Amino acid sequence: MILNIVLVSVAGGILCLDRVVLQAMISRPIVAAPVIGLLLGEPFTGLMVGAFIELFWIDRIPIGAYIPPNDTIAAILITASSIESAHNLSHFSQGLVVLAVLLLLPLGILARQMDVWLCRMNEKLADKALAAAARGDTRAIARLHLVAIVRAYLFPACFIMMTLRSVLPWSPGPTLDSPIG
Amino acid sequence: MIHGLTLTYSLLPFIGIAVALSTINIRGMVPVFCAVFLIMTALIRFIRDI
Repeated sequence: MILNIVLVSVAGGILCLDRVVLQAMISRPIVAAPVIGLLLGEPFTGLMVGAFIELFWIDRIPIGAYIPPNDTIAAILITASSIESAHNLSHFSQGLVVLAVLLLLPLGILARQMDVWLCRMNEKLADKALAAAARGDTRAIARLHLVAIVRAYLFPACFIMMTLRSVLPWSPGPTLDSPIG
Repeated sequence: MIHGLTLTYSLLPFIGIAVALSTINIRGMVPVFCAVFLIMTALIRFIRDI
């Protein structure tokens, strides 16, 4: 369980980085969710979740200054939590996917606030880079670029890890087949 | 609760279709499809109970 949460966080950070740096479209939910599903051994669940999230926020496009809900994080969290819950209960149910969608879809909007905050922090870095450019310090400019990239990786990765940590238990719980009480 | 949510799993794409139709300027589709979603869920529940 712990290893899977760490694995999903590391992979999720890389996938979310694509929203800012690579832009190879691997951050789209239809790609990101099956990748996470594949890592956890259930690519079909990931594909279903990814297709739904892709459609759900298809009209939110990052044009101009508009920052859309973070559908990548939402897709990753929903896929990982539904698959890990199924592993935890030793029983996969489609209801778990619906429950994960209902509970974790709003976190995409919360993650947008994180994106807004990251953008504001990047503005400060840009001011520093301008000051460094005025001094002719090219090494400082390169370092500030790297700082922005590392932040763009670490913040979503930590967000995913903390959310999965709070949603999923660390140790396997009772199975659906086990007697109650 | 999980069994109830399982009923709605196959109907989730309705919401996505409604958003996709809204995107191509066919407005007012989201409430219509949400209503279809609700009615279909009730129907499936009713049919399973019979």
